[in-house]
Order: sequence, then structure tokens, then C-alpha cells
Amino acid sequence: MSIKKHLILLLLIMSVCYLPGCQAISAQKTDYQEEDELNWKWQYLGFKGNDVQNVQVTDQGVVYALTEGKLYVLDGEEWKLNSPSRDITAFYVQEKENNTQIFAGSSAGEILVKGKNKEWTETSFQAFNEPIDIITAGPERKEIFVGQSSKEGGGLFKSGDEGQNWERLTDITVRGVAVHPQNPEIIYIVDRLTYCSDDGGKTWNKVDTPANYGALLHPLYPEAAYLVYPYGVVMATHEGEITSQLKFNLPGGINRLEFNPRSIEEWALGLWDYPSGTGGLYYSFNGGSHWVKVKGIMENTKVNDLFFSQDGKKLYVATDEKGLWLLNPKKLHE
Amino acid sequence: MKKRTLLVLLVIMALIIVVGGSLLYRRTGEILSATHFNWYESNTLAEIENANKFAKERLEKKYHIFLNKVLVDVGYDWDGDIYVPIRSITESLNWETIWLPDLGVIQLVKGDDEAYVEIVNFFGKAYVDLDRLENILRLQEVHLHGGNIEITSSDKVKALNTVDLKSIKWQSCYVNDMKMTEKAAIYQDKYYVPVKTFAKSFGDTYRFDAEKGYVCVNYNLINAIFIDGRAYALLDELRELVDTGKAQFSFWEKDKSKTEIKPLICKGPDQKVVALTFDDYLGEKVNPLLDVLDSHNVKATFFIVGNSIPKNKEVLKRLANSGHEAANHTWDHMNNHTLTDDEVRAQLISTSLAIQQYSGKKPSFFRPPGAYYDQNMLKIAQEIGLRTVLWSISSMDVSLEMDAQDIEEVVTRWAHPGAIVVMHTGQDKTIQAVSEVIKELRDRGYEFVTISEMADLLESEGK
Repeated sequence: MSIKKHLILLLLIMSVCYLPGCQAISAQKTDYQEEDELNWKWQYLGFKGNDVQNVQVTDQGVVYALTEGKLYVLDGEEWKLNSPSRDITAFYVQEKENNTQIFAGSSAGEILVKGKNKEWTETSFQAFNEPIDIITAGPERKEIFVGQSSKEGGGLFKSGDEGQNWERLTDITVRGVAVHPQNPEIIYIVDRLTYCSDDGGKTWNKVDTPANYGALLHPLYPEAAYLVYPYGVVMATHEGEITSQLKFNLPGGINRLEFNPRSIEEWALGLWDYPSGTGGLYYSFNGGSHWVKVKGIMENTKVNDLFFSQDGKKLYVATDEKGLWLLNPKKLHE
Repeated sequence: MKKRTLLVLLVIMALIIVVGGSLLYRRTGEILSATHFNWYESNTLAEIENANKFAKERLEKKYHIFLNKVLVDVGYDWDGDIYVPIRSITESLNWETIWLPDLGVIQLVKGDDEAYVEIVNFFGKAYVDLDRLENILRLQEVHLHGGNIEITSSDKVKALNTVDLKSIKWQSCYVNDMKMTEKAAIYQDKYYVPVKTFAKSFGDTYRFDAEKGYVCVNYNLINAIFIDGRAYALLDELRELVDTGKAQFSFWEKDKSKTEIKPLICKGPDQKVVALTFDDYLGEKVNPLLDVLDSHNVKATFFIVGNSIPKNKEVLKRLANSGHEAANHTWDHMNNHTLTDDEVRAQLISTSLAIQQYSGKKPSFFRPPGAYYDQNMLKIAQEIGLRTVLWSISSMDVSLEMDAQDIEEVVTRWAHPGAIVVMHTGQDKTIQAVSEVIKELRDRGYEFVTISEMADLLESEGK
């Protein structure tokens, strides 16, 4: 007997029994799975009741979180403020030669650096007096990239000397950046449209796609760019040619997508259907072909940021209101 | 032995019904406080109630959006973020606005400028985060002021011909005894009406060019004045641009509508009658449906989306000539909660006028799309001569899971005295199911009536 026949039969049975609290037949078709047999293990890290915008974990496992305009670092079990006096909107932390460098982008378009001298200092960075959207690093962390997108304008900026001097690569507004992990000449930027450059930002080619939600390059297979749109990803070559498209058919739009750096098949995704407030965290073990809804604390939660640890065994999840959490998908790595 | 077993089973079932029924009463609360003892009917109404509650909650914190000092739409505060309907703003600023459904984004194009915008689809209308839109369109100023969002696109905007509110006397304007607006203006002894409301009330196009300050109806430039952020024009000037046919206009200082609101109809009286109703668009597939109904000599009621009438006049004429009832399902099938009162009026008036023009009869009943309604909408509908009708049985024929046999099973299983069944036009499976539904219910002694006949029966019972 088909599923729909079962449903009809169930409806008829319910009519006789007058079962209380039962729901009507659902017609929703999905290609994801609602299960918790994977035994997800959650660990609460902090900031309950707050919105955590970004999270990053260094190679040595130090956790940084940006919440309510301030940057915090996890010291043992305690969060310590490690933020400049002004509000920040983006940050990037890197460890080089036993020295931790923190780059912070302010809501007024400044870049501040904290390094060896343990003091926050403003760099010579000059952009619009508007929030910084993103800070990231190129291969081997030799270069720092900063993206800004505002109604006044924006651009992509690069520093090759740890923030002392800055070069403006383009005045195209930038919300997202992906730099090839081995070749710094290959850069993707997204905002109003999506562009790629194969000459270090001297020239930019428009990628003919509406997928401008984010750009990702997997460290194990950086030969294809994954460009995110609300319902899936578009794959592109570094010449800007679209090669394929994957539509996830999940019950909402993508808020955040991240790849496990140790597996090209493992993807994590924050879903959000606004304003109904449904969404949560989804996980794929086969490159987005099939998704599993992670049950429990993340159900119907807005995920702001996702960050995999370098060994790929831990996933840090920054949320709206529920703070910061650590997911250890136990079954995967036992 | 068999009789005893049967008796025991009957007792058990009776206990389940009593216990289950009382539990259902406690769990579903007010929806069961009426006389529904049919689980499906109760559940249907509970779903409608919940959907309305959700819509009202999400639309509670609203902002009127003024673009270059002219009211263009309404935005909402959703959990601290302001969302605005993208199309109203971008089209007024001359951005070509293209919905790409497969990707869930809107493409904006203006000259060499281009952008893709992620949107929130709320009841079929696209909303976007105001901060994001401000960034993309590079709006000069965006201020939240009281309950308003005041947007200035650039400093090159043409000054508008604004009129001081103090020099205005307000009256209600009626078209064919249907209240079009409470905000018709008498200025310098001349009658002005809101241009958008007027144009939409006749199913015509309205456009505000926020950069040039132009107001157009059917692509004709209007000599507009602006009162309280709304474009007004002389009634006589608008009548030259809009085909109003034989419509009669009247102005009233005091509200001439009846104050007592008739309750909405969800089902008919406790008699063996059933009303088959069909919602949505007129089109080619209505003819085979009419063939089936006519072959069984069953009269049904069609709640018609008005914008499908102009291209399907002959279908409407046939429908009416066959004795079926044509009723109002708004012009654009939008969620009424997201519209202003004048916009709801225009949606209803335009549809009623089109039905009247091609069927020869003014409709008396209205079904809100998606069953989204509240007391205010019942009042507005009544001021347009429409009584609001929902349903007691959803055939669920819009569900992809349901085939013709499923639809037939659901309707016949849950049919009850006075049932109002909702089905939809444009679907082969519905047409296939209807014939069997009619045969089965006739065999069980049911008669088929239109909503008008159902209302008359209710009236005779004093409801």
C-alpha cells in the first residue's frame, strides 16, 4: 500500500477514534532526513541569550567569538574580553611563530591589530566610514584580505605586511571572500554580484550567476568554487564558468554553509526560514546530496556562523540568542 | 457470540468517542466551543485560526514606508530586523525587478547596474532586510520615525505638489454603493480621490515614479496632488483615463454602511445539503468542470480571482448562464493581512465589478485567499456588499500527495449536513473526483446548493 493510502487510512481511523491533538495530513516533500541516531553530542560554550555573530578557532585550538560588537577569547572555561574599545563587526586571528595576531574590523571602517605588544593599534587602512564585513587570510597567512560593503561603497583590500600597509584591489563592494588555499592569485568575491580574479585582484571577471550568498573553496579540492544561493550551491571554475548546480530542497533558505577541512564530503549548513522562525543545523556526509537534520538544541535556531576545527572533528556553531555551541559528531570520527 | 463481540466493540468505540471528544475539547479550546463534533471540521477550523494568529503576530509591528515622501507600502519588524516589500520600492525607483524562482532570489537591473537579492517569501510577497536594500540601492537616507520608514533615494528628487491637510475636508466615496475609500478629499470645492485606490478598484495599473515624482494610471501621467503622502487626482480626470463603464460614484460625509457585521459562514444549517465551492482562477480547465457539474445538474459556487476574468469572459458567462454562482476571491489572491484597508477594498471592488460586468449579477459572497481574515475584513467586505464565506471541509486537492480518489475519499468521508466543501479550479484530479463525490453524496440523500441558497437556509433559521 502506498504512503498516501496509509495516510488516508489513518485519517479514517482517526475519524472513528477522535484522537485528540492529531495533525492533518502533511503534503511536504523533502529530501532530507529527520533522525538523531547519529548521537550528536553538544557542548555549551557560552553567551546564552546573546547573538554570536562569528566564531573562529586557531590552529592551537583557541576559541574566539564576536558577540554584541565585542571580541572574546575562551581561556579555560572563562570568556575574557579581548576587544578594542570601539565596536567591531569582523575579525580574524592567526598564529605565526608562537605569536597570535588579531585583526579587528570596526563599525566605522577601521582595521585594528593586536600582536606582539599586546596592545590594539589602528592600522593605516582607509575605507568608507562604514562597517567592515569580512577579514580573512590567503595561503600560509602571508596576506590579509578585508572586504567592505556599504551604501557608500566598499571594496577589497589586501595587506602583505601584517596590516601595516594596505592595497585596494577593487572598489567593488564585498560581503564575502574566498582565496585559493594554494594560489593567492585566485580570489572570489561576492556581494551584489559574484566576481573572480586569477591575477591577484588586478582584473575581475563577473561570474554569470545569482549565487552571491557566499563563496567557498575546499582546502582538499580547491579547483572548484562553491557559490552559495539560498537553496543550494553553484559550482564554478576559476575562469568563472558554471559547471553544475546543486539544489538542496531543504525547508528554508541557507544562512551559512561550511565545509569540513578534512573531508570534501562533509558539509554543515545553517538553515533559516524567516519570518516563520523555522530552521536549524543540517549536516551532509556526501557533498550535499543528502542532508540530516541535527535534532535537539539547534532545532529552529538561527545559525550565524559555523567553524570546523582544523582536525575536522569539532564544529563550532554561533547562533542567535542561544549563544555558542560545540558539536562533536561522535559517530564520524570514532 | 458475534453479537456480543460487536456490542463490546461498540461500547469501546463509544468510550473512545466520549473520552477522546472531551480531551479534544480541552486541547483545542475555543475552536471546539461551538458545535463541531466532526474531528475533521474542527481541525480544519483550528488550522485556519492558527494561520491567522501567526499572520497577525508577524505583522503586528508595522511601519508605513514613505519613499521620497510618498507612501508606497508597509514594512515589518521581525525580531528586531526591519523587512520591507522589495518590489514596491525598487520599481518606484525604476529598477527592473525580476523574480528567479528556482534560485529564490530577485534580480535587480537598472542601466549597467545589477544585483541579486535574497528575499523572504511571506504569503507570496517578497520582503528584504531594509539594511541590505539600503546598501544595494545606495539610498541616500533611511530614517525610522515613529511608525514610519522615511526613505530619500537621492537629493535630485523632484518636489511634489503637496497640499496642507488643514485645507482638506474628508468624505467617503462609494462606487455602485460599494465603499471605495473613507479618504476622498474635497479641496477647493473639487472632489479628489486617492489615485492608487481608484485605479486598483477597476483592475487598472498604478505607478509612482519616486525619482521623477510622476504618478501614472494605465501608463498615462496624472496631474496629482499629494495629501499626507498619498497621491490624489480629480475624480473627473481619472474617469477619463479609466474605463469605469456605468459605475456610479457618490460621496458621503457620514458612513452610510450598516454597523452590525454579519458573522462569517463556515457551514450551513443542520439539513442534508452540501455546497460545492471552487476557488481561484478562471481558465480553460473550468469548462470541463462545468461539463461535469451540468451533467449532474448540480449548481456550484465559484470564488473567482478577478484578474483571471478579462481573459476568460466567455467562461464566466457560461458559468453564470448555467446557474452557478460567481463569488469574489479578490483581484490578485494576496493575503489580506498584508494590505491596507483601501487596498483590500480595491481588491474586492475590482473583482465584484468584473463579475457584475460579465455575469450580469453583482456577487454577494467573498472568500479571503488562504482564509486569512479578521473582523475588520468582514466589515470591509460588508461595506462592499459581500458576506464572508470559509468552508467546513477542505478537499485538500491542492496537495501534491492527493489524487482524485483521495479527494473523493476525504470529501465523502467527512461530508456532514450543511457542509461547505472547498476545492480548486485548474486541476484535472479535482474534476475527476467531483463526479464521484456527487454520486456518493446523492446516494446518501444530500442535495447540492449554492452558497446563496445555503445562506437563505441559514437566514430562515435566524443565523
